Amino acid sequence: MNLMRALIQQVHIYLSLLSFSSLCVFGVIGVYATMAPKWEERAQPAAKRWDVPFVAPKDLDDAALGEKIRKEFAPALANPIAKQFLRHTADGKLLLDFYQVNGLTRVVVHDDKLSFEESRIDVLEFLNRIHATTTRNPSPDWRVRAWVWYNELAVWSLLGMALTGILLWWTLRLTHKGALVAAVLGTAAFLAIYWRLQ
Amino acid sequence: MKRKLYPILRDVHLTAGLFSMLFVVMYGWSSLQFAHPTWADTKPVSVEWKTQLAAGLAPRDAALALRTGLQLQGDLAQIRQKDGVTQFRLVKPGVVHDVRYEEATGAAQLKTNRWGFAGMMNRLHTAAGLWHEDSWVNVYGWLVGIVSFGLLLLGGTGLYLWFVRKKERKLGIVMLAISLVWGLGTMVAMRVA
Repeated sequence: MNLMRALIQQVHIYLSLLSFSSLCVFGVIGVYATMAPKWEERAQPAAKRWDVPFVAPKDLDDAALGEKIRKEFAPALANPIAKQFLRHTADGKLLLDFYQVNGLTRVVVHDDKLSFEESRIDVLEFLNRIHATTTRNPSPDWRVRAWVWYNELAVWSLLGMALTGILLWWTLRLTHKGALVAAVLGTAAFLAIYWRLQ
Repeated sequence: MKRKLYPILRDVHLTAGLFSMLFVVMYGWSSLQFAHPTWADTKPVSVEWKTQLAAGLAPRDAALALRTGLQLQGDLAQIRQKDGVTQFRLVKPGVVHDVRYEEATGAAQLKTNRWGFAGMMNRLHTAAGLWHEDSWVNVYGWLVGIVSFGLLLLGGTGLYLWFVRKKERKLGIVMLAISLVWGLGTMVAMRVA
């Protein structure tokens, strides 16, 4: 039994250390989400605008042109734009929205130039975005791919950490009054909220 | 100092962890559902129905009539008005009512979406903030804040509790280094990209 406890304790410690970076991000984001105003009322980042001379090759359709512009001009983390998200301005010019974890880069393709409008989100919003960037979001960029796999590992670690933590309490310190009160209060709060908000 | 600090931080760690445990499990579980959407059915069950309200109501008054008359709950959201038809939503994590209200006749068509357990986990994960009209959602918002602060507290106290244990120090340093290089490193690399 002691050997088992020691093993559970080690698993708890190592999983926690492995997911430490994500754990901090989750905590910071949770506090931020609590204090932040409604999405519509949040301050929007100022946009930076510039033009680049560019003549679109005639033989490319919108999707291929969008991909060429992404590869040559868009920020490194920008994902390819799916065909259904290709849009046009009121005067018929191709409009490309490159979303990525740092913000949005909008490109309008003119006859002789590309017009860029880039809004870069602040660090807290960046953390908010990356905490929701998972294996469901495939990216051609190695940094994003490395992050989503770390995030995946961190989520499993978080669950493992919680379960081993409960086991440790159960086997070692079940009689600790403060812990028992905290467990009852937390469980009651969660169940009450679940019942009331369902 | 170390002898006094260790039991205090151990108790803080234990207490914060146990208060947060169901919330942490909910966040972990729903994160997996977000990352792997085919693993669980998180779609809501929808029911369409009709009711009659007074004619000529503004969106907020129509929402109030639904709340008081039919005991519907949730924040008023996504109001759209066009050609004498008002559309809005009453939103709380487990239930969303899509309302289509005809101002001239007072007829209201509703589509009620209700999430089951798996869907509710996802909906609770994304609910936060203290700005809601529904006071229970604000209570939940405070709990999210407390649990999130608890996570930071768990991280800080856990780091100390680990470091004073010599047996797990070496391998622990390797794990922490992996976390910092892989986690923090890629975060910084993405931010500066």
